[in-house]
Amino acid sequence: MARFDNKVVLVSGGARGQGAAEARLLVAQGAKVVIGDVLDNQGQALAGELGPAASFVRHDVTSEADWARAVEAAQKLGGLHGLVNNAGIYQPAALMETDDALWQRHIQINQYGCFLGMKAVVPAMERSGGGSIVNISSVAGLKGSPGSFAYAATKWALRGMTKSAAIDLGGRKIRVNSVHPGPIDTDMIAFRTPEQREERMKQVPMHRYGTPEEVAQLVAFLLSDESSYITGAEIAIDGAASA
Amino acid sequence: MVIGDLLDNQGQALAGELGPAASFVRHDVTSEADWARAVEAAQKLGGLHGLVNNAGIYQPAALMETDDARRSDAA
Repeated sequence: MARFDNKVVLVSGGARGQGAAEARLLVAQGAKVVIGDVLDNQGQALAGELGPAASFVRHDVTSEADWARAVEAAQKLGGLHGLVNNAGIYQPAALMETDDALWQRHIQINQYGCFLGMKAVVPAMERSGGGSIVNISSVAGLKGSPGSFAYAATKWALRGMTKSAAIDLGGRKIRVNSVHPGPIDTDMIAFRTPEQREERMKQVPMHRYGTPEEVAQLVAFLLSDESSYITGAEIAIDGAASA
Repeated sequence: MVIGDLLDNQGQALAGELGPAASFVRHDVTSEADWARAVEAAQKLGGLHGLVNNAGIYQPAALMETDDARRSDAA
């Protein structure tokens, strides 16, 4: 029996990057996966690649109706046992360069989206006998961050929301943990110049970027029954960048 | 000292008690315009050297009891 047989996991922002790596790994280990994203083409292509174990739903995490549709898609695949709140944006700007639109965009997608998601999945997870929620924060949620004020604000928020939700949902057999990746090689940081990449790497004791597949392994562990007593925890995956 | 608050009566009373060293401004911290007025009030007192971001609310509710309502709806 595979690790995730008869388990259904919803991955927000699942069309590319870390979310896609998580979807691939989970399907390979027996899960059924709902890929939510606003990127229709990439999401549908990934669902097609993964076959009948995966389905794509267009999913704006700031929309309660979209969350309801995503949960419904999971039910059709057999219930809902896991949620990865992976969708997020990173548009770095220092405090004095952060305007109201940039601030609101981060809060809406990164923070409010996570709030809506946790609330949306609870009834379906309870019907499935419990569940596991993994909130993707960042090293920017473990320490202060230069030049990414709004992003850091939301990633710190996720860390606190995770712990408070773990307490609130403990009695419902739903675990909630946060994952804090350091620099991971995805499109999210593709805008960096080679010089900026080199500079960032100097701050990582392991002297390299992480891969989406490495993050997916941690997320899969937290979704699985192997982590059945881990809840309210924050786990860095960052080559010791936050150590 | 500039005292900012939504509570006019209590803010004005405190400013009165403290005398000319204090002034009260009605101040909704979610309003950029109110922040500008508060800073202006400080300038009139001789500049601005400190800020205490003290305003806050605490309306406890568990995750599943937390609804979408914003402060203005709740007020």
